[in-house]
Amino acid sequence: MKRHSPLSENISDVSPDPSTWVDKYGDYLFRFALLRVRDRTVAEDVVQETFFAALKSRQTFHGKSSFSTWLVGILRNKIIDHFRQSGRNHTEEYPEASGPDSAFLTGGEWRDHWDSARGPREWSVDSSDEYERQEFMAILGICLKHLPERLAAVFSMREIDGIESDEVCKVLAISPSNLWVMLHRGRMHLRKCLESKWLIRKHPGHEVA
Amino acid sequence: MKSRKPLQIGTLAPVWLLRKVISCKTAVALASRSLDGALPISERFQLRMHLLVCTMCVRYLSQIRMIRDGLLEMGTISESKNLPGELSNEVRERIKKSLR
Repeated sequence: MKRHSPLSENISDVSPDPSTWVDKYGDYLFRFALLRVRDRTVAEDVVQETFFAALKSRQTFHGKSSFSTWLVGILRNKIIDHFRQSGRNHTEEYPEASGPDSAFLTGGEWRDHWDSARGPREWSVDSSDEYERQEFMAILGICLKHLPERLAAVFSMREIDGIESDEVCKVLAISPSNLWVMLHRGRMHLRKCLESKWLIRKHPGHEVA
Repeated sequence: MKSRKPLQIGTLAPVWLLRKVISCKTAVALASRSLDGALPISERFQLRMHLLVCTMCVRYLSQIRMIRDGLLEMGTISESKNLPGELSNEVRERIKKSLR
């Protein structure tokens, strides 16, 4: 995938004074980090570490990519370090999705099939409508914030940044089947959240169960 | 796997049978896994059979695909400029200080 940087510049434009970097790239890096780690304090810390690391290794920046791309590369590694460390402090497991709020029938001949009154509903998102697309993305962003922390780490790496499954498993010290379960759980969470918020938006006044 | 238009439930006896092969709960777990790599052939077959006749699972799969595409797009650099949030002045100063 080709990635564009909104802040293009070449090596001679990079100021020797690092405090100007903070003004120029700080918000951009902060937003990048906030989407991935969600917590403001954590995002601030990884941005600070990124600038500090950039200052220490500025000789290694040769202007092959833009300065902002170079900073983002450092930031990505800091974010992964954060996930690796917080993964160590987490031991909770995520069992197979079910529970009392499940939309599956719990008994009878069609046990574990969708309860037709509570199963997935039609969203009718018009992706050619730019306004509607933006709104869909905004709701998706809100739902992402509601994911449990460990699932959020998985989604950040695997779904937002498209990091290979093997790599994600290594960083979080989990097995592939563990990863599948977590992704499945997370998708169920996100789908349900998105559905209720989206349908309320489309049909105000009709609460969705 | 392409999404197919599901048949009307109840019009054909095999529909009932096909839908019974695996439960919806199993089908959505397989559908999710199918986004993360190829399923083993028998699971792939079971999922396909189920999706032939189950409107809700077809919808589920297309919705989790939308979620996947949306998240990947959110992560692209060009989309980052639309994200909310900015550093507070206090933090900005703190970072500058650490660089001196």
